[in-house]
Amino acid sequence: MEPVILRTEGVTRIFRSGAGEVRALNNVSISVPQRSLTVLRGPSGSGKTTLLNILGGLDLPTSGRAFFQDMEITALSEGQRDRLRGKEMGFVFQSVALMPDMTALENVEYGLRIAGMFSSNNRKMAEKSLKEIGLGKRMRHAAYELSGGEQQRVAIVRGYAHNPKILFADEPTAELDTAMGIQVLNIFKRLISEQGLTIVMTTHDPNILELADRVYTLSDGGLVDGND
Amino acid sequence: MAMIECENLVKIYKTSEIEVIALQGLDLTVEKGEMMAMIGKSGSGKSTLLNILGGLDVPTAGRLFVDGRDMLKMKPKDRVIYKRETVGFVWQNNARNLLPYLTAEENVIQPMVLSGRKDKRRRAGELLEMVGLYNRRKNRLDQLSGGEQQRVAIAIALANEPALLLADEPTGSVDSKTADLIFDIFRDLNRQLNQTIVIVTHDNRLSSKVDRVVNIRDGRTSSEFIRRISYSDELAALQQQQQILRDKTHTEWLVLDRAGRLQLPQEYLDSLSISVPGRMLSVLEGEKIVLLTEEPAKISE
Amino acid sequence: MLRVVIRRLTGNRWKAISLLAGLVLAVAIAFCIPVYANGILQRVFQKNMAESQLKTGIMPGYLTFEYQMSSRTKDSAAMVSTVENLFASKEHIDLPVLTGGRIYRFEMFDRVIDPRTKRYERLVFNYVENLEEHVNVTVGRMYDPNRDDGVLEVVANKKFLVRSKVVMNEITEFDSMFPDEEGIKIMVVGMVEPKDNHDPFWHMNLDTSLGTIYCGKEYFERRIAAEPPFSRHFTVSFWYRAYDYMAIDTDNVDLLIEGISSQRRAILNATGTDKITFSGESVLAEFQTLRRQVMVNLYMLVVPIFIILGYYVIMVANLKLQSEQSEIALLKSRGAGRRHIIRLYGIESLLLAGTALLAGPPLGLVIVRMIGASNGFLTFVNRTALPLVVKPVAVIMAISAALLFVVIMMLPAVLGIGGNILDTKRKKNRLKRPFWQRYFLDFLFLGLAAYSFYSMEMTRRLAQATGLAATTQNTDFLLYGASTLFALGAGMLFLRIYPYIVWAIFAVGRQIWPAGIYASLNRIARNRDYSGVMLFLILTLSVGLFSADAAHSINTHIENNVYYSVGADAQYMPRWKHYDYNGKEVFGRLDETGGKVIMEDEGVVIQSVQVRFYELFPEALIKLPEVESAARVYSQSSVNVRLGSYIDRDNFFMAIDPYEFGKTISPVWDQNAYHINEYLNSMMSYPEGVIVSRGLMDAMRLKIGDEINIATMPGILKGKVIAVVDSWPGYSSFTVNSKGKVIPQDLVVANMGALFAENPVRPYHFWIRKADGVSDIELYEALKNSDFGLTSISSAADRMIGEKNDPVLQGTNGMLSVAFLVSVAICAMGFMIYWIISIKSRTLQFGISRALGMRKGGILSMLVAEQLLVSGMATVAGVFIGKLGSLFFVPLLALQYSLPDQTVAFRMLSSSKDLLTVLAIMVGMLLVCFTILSVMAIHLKIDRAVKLGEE
Repeated sequence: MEPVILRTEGVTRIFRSGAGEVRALNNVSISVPQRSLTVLRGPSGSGKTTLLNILGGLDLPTSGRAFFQDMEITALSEGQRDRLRGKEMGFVFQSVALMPDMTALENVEYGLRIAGMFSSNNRKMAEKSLKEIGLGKRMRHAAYELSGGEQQRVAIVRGYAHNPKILFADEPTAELDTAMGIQVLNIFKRLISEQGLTIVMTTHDPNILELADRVYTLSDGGLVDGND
Repeated sequence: MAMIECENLVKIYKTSEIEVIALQGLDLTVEKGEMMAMIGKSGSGKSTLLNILGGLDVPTAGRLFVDGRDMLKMKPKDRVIYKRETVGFVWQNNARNLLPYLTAEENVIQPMVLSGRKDKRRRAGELLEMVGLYNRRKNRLDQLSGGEQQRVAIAIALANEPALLLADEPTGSVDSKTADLIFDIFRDLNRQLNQTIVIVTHDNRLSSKVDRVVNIRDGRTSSEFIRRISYSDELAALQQQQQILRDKTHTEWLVLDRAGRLQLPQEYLDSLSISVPGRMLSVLEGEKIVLLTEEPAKISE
Repeated sequence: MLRVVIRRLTGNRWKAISLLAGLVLAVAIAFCIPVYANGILQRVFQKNMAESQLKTGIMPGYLTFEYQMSSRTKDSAAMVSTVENLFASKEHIDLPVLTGGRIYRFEMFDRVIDPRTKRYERLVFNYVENLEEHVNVTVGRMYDPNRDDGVLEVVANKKFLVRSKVVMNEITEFDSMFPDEEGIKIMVVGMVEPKDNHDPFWHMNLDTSLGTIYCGKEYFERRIAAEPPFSRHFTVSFWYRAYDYMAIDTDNVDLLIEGISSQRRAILNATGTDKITFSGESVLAEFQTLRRQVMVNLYMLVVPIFIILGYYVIMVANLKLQSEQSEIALLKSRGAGRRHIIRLYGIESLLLAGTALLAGPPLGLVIVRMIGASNGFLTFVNRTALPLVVKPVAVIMAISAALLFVVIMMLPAVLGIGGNILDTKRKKNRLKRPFWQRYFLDFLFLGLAAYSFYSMEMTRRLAQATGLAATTQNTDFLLYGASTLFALGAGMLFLRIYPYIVWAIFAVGRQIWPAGIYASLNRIARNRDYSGVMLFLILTLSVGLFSADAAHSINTHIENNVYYSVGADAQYMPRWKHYDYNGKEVFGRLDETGGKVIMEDEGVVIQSVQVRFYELFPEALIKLPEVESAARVYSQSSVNVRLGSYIDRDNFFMAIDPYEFGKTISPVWDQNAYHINEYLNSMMSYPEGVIVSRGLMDAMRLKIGDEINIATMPGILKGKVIAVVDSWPGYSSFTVNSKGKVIPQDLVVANMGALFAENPVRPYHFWIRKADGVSDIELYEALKNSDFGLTSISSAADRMIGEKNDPVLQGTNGMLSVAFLVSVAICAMGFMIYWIISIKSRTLQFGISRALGMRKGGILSMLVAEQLLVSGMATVAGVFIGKLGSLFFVPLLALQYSLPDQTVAFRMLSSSKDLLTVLAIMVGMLLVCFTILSVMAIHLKIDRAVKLGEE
């Protein structure tokens, strides 16, 4: 059993808007083992995206705590969380999240730059990763010229190109066809086994559920099977 | 005549760099008064189909009749009228359903202004009553919760008494209670007004409540789930909070198109590691058709 | 529908307000131009009319008709009534009448009062209609016209009773000038005095050297009706009307001129005579030209302003439309057709335009005030306010501007309603080459600008050579339009190349750019969205700088001209005393040779005497505290210069004392090859030396060292050519000859010492430099009361005020100031709006970058880089292009401002102050906007930003 790399303790998140209060998360505690594929599932509105954001330091809970390795990320300043996130974490968003004017290659390089990596190897690494994911011929095209599936793949490469410890992915295979989806999962599995990456993702896809190491089901802001 | 008669529908998007075949010969029939759901991932073509049904896009080839209207031959002017009067659309994102600067009531009235209807206010009131928001009719978008917005959207879509009601992920961004509420509205519309409703959704719970679910994959109808047990029975038998897996209530059928083609479920392909494209052998054994991945071993003497 | 539109606009408040601001400005300016033109022209017109009264002594608007009765006049009674009717009717000239009437005059009787000397008195009778109302009878009584004992009762003015030998209340007999005509017996029964000398009634000056006598009209009517017709001789009838010229509307001058002609024609037809005068008629004709000049000037100055406003409105309307795309998609998905949506935007535009029509005109009036008070570029003085009259044309202009902008506002909507909801996502991502690049508009504009420049430059050179003020109106219009086209074209061309430059920067430092700068460089190199706002900035800056430079150059040109043509602060002619050769002072009029004085009495020349003058020296003047320095200057025009057998005419001659001259003249920048002091020094070194103008040198093929003969009034002067100049204080290279034709004029400058060494002294001027802080009035009084006395004085300051009050200049300064202010204001507004919307639309990208781990500082650096590359670069380009445009096009203003009698050539001048102002404003704007944007971008909630993108 691998050590826990990421966990939350009693995290609650309440959003206030013009229409009132929304309790997106209600006292959720989970733990993510290292080198695992952990899946958060649940219908839209169940709070899984919110939980993902909190785990990634993009959002702070109204109450409760979250930990990365032994660091309490909920206690860090925004700048510290930014730096942590940039270096140790990778993100793949549900919506297309590339810089539209940059090429696929440049998008990946951009991600590397944000992570603080300026080596001359960047380019080669990016090219290799893009080839692996089947974008060898398309990597010099601008992002808006790529299809939805291609863009998603670029986003995924951008997510792990800087060798983070954790990769967060929000519905990464949603826009891909089944074949491509399988391919992506293979890459994920390889990243976990070869590079020791931990992957936390949300999905609807039943195939992925089968391959997951750990599955948390959320519904209306709470875990279905109760906290850990 | 069916409400939707769709045969071998093809839609190709061409840009200067790429060509995307979104629909590859899709077949679908929806009867009048039917309430059904379509599921499928993004990129499966379901959004494309929905847009075509909604009059927002034009099919490239094939045959599509909605309420007796030929969608391929429809002129742009007629399409405008079609969007106005034949079809009602409920978008997933509420910013697309409601004009933010108008009240709920005014929003419902708005399509009627376009079609020149006379008793706008009265009908708006009726519709809002139907979705249970009559007392909120003077509120604007930012004063309504997500669920309330969605319900107003339904009222708006019904403003001009459309023959067909289309809904794109209607329960996408609401909690389960509201989702149930919305579904009940749809069900009432279907039962009481015989409204034909097509819902596109990810939501397993929602799709498990309708009688018929069509699975769209790679631009084609790949399989259909037909309800085995009637929904009301199911309700009677089970508690609401529990999640029901589809395979207990529905039977999955493979859709056979006019050319006799069918799509094999992905799970089967995966479990046998069958790669596509490829070939299979088919053997008729009595009442069954058997598909083989390789030549049967010759029976040795 | 209307309610919906209003609700929509209030929802989109800021964009609507920005749009409205542009509209209000457009309407205001369109409205203000006719109002201003009317006000200034009205003021100038009345001033010119009043001035003509000073010059001619006759009130303007005075229509007179003189008819001499002759033997051929048949049915004079009928003719009289016809003329009366013509005068009474308003058919030809429709103006309020101050006074008018009929006068009969007769001069046929005289009598001898001194048989010895045969001195006689001649009687001039006048019948003046309505006399009784305008005189007081100070002695005696009014005449009784009905006296029937053969004696004509008359009244007379004081002058008559003093000068004439006729005694009051006595019957005096006069003989007819014609031997076979009867004489007349008169009795003066009263003395009269005008009630009010300033009453226009008295403008028909009937006074003679023997005073004036008045009688009733009955006498005249008897004469006119009598036979033989011979009696009608010498009866002159005058009809006059004094029209209130203050009531003349400058818009109707055309009509008035036409009316006067038709009045003339009518009277000519009726009477066979056209001795009709309308005082101030020449002013009317001149005014027409002036009016045209002012209107053309104003309208052409307005062109760049409207181009800027149009660009701004399109830009904002486009931004607004883009931000409303999802709403349009919504409407379309519900079955709103294209027509419905266009109607929606149409109502919106009309609503905005309507509001602008309400708010614009009041603002327009404020602008009129501002222009009316302008005294230079962005300088205003407190003059009496212009009359503000709003005529229909102003309202029409305002409405036209509003409608024009409605069309402009609708353009993005009409042109853009193509795609539906699916396309919006796709269109956004497509590479958008700005439309002008597709149509090569940049080359077109530059081509047009170059062509205009070329043709105007040719015209300017021609004008310079011939000395004609070339005010061809077509080229004027083109000038300001061309400079704007140039700015647009050059800007577009620059923007064509710019992305490649940025790409080069990006590629060069690919490895080292930090993430924020990497992203900005990449985006700007790839995405042409920026072109719009960069071009906008370039355009507004260019127009602003051009306006400033143009105004500065024009104002300085005019100022320099005044200083140079007056030469010093004032030119002063003392009261020269004439002395005969016995040293006795003689009084009288100086003749044309300047050497004789003519004494006359009552117009009769009694004698003419040779006179001489004693030199006056400047020291006496310099003693005055009001005078800092003074110099003697003798000047004479139309002087002949001879070299060998070749004679050059029409030259301007000046004799000076170089040292004092140098100390007195106004310091103006140099026009010649060397500083003026060098020339003066050489004059001092060579007493016999003369300086000639280049024209003379060329015409006579002079070389340095040649000796020429100058035929001055004092005498022939021999001078050796020591230098050649292009210009000289007090000298203008063109002059108007006696026939009114513009001819070139050359210059000869000699030493006064040399002139008067051999020749008698003739009167000369003194040029004066005032002491600090001395006003013209004080100088005037001091000189008048000094030993030298004062004959005349003309001051530079006076002329300056006259020039500054020139309506064309005022209008120009005002409009240029407005153009400058509008460009700066619009630049700021457009800039802010554009950036705010641009940042808002990229919240997703900022969110992504932050989510990927970029810190707030990184976002900041992204924004800074972007601002530098876009706004900063556009500012630099705008300044550069603006200056370039000024260099090319400002000198062409010489076309309009080169007058034949100017002394100084037009030069393009910039004020570094203006440039700094513009830059300061730009930088300030950048900082403000940048602060706002950074705050916006940084306080982004990352998760919400990314969620937004999920749509």
